[in-house]
Amino acid sequence: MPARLLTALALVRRVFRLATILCLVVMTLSITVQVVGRYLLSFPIADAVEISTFAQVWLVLLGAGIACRHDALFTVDLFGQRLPPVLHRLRGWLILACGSVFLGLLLWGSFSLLGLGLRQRAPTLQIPMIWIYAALPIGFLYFWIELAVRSLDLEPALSAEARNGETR
Amino acid sequence: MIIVVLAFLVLMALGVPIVLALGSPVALYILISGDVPIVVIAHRFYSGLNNFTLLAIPFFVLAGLLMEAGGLSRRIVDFASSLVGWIQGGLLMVAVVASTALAAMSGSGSADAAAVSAVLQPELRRRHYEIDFAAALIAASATLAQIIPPSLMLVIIAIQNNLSVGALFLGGVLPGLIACVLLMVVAFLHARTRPELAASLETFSLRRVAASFVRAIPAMGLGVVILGGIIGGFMTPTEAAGVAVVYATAIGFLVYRELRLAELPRLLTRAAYFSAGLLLLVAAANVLNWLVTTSGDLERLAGALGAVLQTKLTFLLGVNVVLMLLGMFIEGIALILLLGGLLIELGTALGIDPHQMALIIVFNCAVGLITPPFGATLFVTSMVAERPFVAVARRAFMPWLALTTALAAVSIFPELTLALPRLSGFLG
Repeated sequence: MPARLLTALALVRRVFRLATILCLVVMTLSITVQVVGRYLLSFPIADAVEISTFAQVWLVLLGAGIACRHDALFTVDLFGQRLPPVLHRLRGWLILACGSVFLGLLLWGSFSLLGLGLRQRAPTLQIPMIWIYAALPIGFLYFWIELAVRSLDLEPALSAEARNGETR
Repeated sequence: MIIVVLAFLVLMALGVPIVLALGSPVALYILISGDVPIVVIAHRFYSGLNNFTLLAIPFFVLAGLLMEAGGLSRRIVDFASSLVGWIQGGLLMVAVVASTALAAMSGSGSADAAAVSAVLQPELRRRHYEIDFAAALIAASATLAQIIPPSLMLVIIAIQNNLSVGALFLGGVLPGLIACVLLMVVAFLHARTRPELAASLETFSLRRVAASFVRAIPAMGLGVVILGGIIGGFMTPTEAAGVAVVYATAIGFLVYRELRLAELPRLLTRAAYFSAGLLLLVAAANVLNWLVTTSGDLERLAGALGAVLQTKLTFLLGVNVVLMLLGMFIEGIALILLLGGLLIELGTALGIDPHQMALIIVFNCAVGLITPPFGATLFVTSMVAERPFVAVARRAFMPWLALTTALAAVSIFPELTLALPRLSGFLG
């Protein structure tokens, strides 16, 4: 993979990682505010439910690519590393093909959803739903990129420790 | 739809990530049939994620990681050690008790297995315990995290079938405790065959119990906050999970002072990508479930199965055997998402309470975590113990038998599951 692409990918990964951390923090704070608001401040904070649920949508869709990169997608591996290199490569192509079909369809559908999102508003927050639906195409695209990189071994192998090190 | 399910199973066996093995045949089916607007698929996927109750999953995952990094898990293991470490085979008892206690605070068995294994392994080796058996026993005990509340699998099956999360959480308490006692019996019987372990017994000290109890109080408070909040009606399970994150962070930072600010981004990222991997599966299954429901195939399958399994007993026996076999090959949450709805519907038609049925399904999936070839927690404990997976799996029979006996009791006696939710007013 060209060095320039690798640098761009590293930047994208950093942005996505920070965004998922932010989502998780927002979710935690919203729930805490909701509980504290109800019992200690004696007023309901209805927005908190919607904020935290929307943050979860963003968290999962942005985190999908990161999960793929960290081998955190649930997989039943009958063959492990025992496959000969040719079959290992073939399996990589099969995974990418499956991902392309599924994510391609979802990407296609999510563009239509964006159109709907321009006219739709969130029930409580009253923000245009396009801000929430936007997570779908962005997440699916990044997921597909990481899937391609992993399935086709497009970048130098990184140890799990090195990958974890990126999160610091 | 049969072709879609077969394609899913083949792709999964070939090593395609489950979410893609599930999603790609569904996508092809939709494209070929041409009678479903594509936007509906994207929306079904989105609505699978747009669910407030599901927030419990990332929160419990994060709380588990914070407990480990903040020293909460270690305090609980220390307390369990002082409590039962003096019994013959004491360290094995400690493993079971500590796993049960951690199960009441964490929703993830793998995190519990890693925490208990990492803390106990050096001591197990020093005292000449049989490491393979100990690893298998720790793995079996860690599966209790899926049965004893809070549990990720119980949250998922509750959402999938519109059941009360609170009722399921309470329903899991007695089955979990029975399994814990049976695993302790297995540990004791194993220790009796190894008299040399008696030589390395700790002496019981009330002072030590009191000291470790005091040190563990802040950690154990997490269980009180979660279960007390839910049972007392102060919080929903999702809110309790969120509060658990805040509580574990506060105790790790302020009381035990083992949690470092610099560590937080790593923990948050791990929780984020692990949760994303799990919730993607939920969203993809939401698309499949919608397709199966609208196609009418579910009713046909239910009718065919109902014709074969006509009594409660044959149905429960059939369900347990099939789930136990499938659990050996299919990841538990995928199994719930695939079959949970159908089995609960069939069971309800035969007069089985949906909450009992949900517990039976989850219990089977939990047992699947220690059955080779894909026992997830068995992998974790064998890795931590630095032992070959096959060697640990060979010693998993007795712990498996203990769990299966508890599962049989849950299947035969509905009150084990339903008594506590009824007493607490969650069920009528």
